[in-house]
Amino acid sequence: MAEPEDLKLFHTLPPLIGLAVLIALGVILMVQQFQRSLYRRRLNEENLKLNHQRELLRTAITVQEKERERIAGDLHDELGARLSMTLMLLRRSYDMIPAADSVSHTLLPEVEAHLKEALHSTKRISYELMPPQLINMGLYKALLVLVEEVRNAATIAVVMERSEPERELNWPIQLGVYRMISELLTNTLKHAAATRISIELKTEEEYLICHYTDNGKGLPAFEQGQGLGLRSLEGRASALNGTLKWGTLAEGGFYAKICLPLAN
Amino acid sequence: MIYTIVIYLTYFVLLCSGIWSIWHFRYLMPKFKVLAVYTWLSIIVQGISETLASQRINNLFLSHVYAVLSFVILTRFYCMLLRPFISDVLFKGQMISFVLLAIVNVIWWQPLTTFNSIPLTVEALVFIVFSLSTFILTLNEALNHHVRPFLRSLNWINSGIFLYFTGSLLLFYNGEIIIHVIMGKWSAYTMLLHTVLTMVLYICIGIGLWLSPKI
Repeated sequence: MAEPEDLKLFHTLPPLIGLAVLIALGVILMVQQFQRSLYRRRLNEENLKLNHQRELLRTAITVQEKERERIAGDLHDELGARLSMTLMLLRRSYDMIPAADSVSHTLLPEVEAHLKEALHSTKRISYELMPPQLINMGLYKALLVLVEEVRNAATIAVVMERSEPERELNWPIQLGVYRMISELLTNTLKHAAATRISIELKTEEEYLICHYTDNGKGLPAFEQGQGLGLRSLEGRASALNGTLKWGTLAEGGFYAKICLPLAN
Repeated sequence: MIYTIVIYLTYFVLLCSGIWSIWHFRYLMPKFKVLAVYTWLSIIVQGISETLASQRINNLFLSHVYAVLSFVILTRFYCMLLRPFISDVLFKGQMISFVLLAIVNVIWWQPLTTFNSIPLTVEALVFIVFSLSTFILTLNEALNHHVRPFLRSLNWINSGIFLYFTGSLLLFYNGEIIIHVIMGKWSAYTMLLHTVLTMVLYICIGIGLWLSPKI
């Protein structure tokens, strides 16, 4: 007996709907996959852009440091040497001036004093541009010298600790940490009115970690006109693939935590 | 009569595409070379099929072979097209699964002397999903940058594939009863409509290859 036609249609529709559902599911899955790939690609592009910016920053810092080193060398070796030579000649000429020449005997000591001051300034600027103790003795000892200078310059207690023997650090890290701590110390001295500074250096797994704290006014004092300084510190840390966090301590005072990968 | 005209027209279109793609094969982009191979495969299978039919020999086994080969070739085309978004592993897995399905189908469900509706249904489903997804891809400005150089060509090919497989799915695997209910005589119309769809597919592929950028 022949099947009624509407019944045949009824039997045909469910598989048809099933196929349509399957197609719709397939398309939805494919589109989801497209979107996921798009997000992944955008994320990669962002990472590439970030790495490129970091590389640019690193290059800029390297160029700046090389230029500093060159200027420091020129100042010390050329200008410093010439000033020393001039001072020596001045002393010799001083001995040769007749005793009756009172004007020369009055003026030349003043010239000598100015020359000595110029020589001292040249050495100081040269050392500040590229600290020789960092090149000769490494980061920790250079920091000890810096801390000692701060202790002598201001009535402030500076405590420096190292949790384990100094590990072999590459030059960019040594220079980066030295510059960052130097900038933090300057900020504390200028704005924080602190009486105590604590610096702790340690290595945890493959990271060099530096905790810096003071008992001064905290972050607002640092922020006044110092936003750029902290940003530049952050840039330095980022150029070394590391991070810099800063803020105000609960009990008051400023803190900064520098975390740099040793495998830079 | 009309069926004969349509089928010869289809062969003519297929031959034109095949000959043109042989002539320009070396200048085609790799993904379009795959489609050129697809047209050659179609010519060979149609030729053998016609020869066997003229000798009154059952040629349905060719449908089993053609389903597997065309599936592999078209999957390769979409694999090359959607590579930035979909993993190659998925396409390879799909090819292997389809070959296994075709073998299992021949052994247990539809022998070589019968019509292989199960693999053809699966094939149609897969390529409808691919072609629809490709349309969505081409319409999205953020996603279509890698297909922009050959967008016009791709739209023709993709439209052909979508029309052919959608039409085939409706006609052969779910449409028989509907056509019977609506028209009364399903078989002749089904065959004629399928041949028209095949012709549309080859026309679209031919135009797509013709418009594709040459290297």
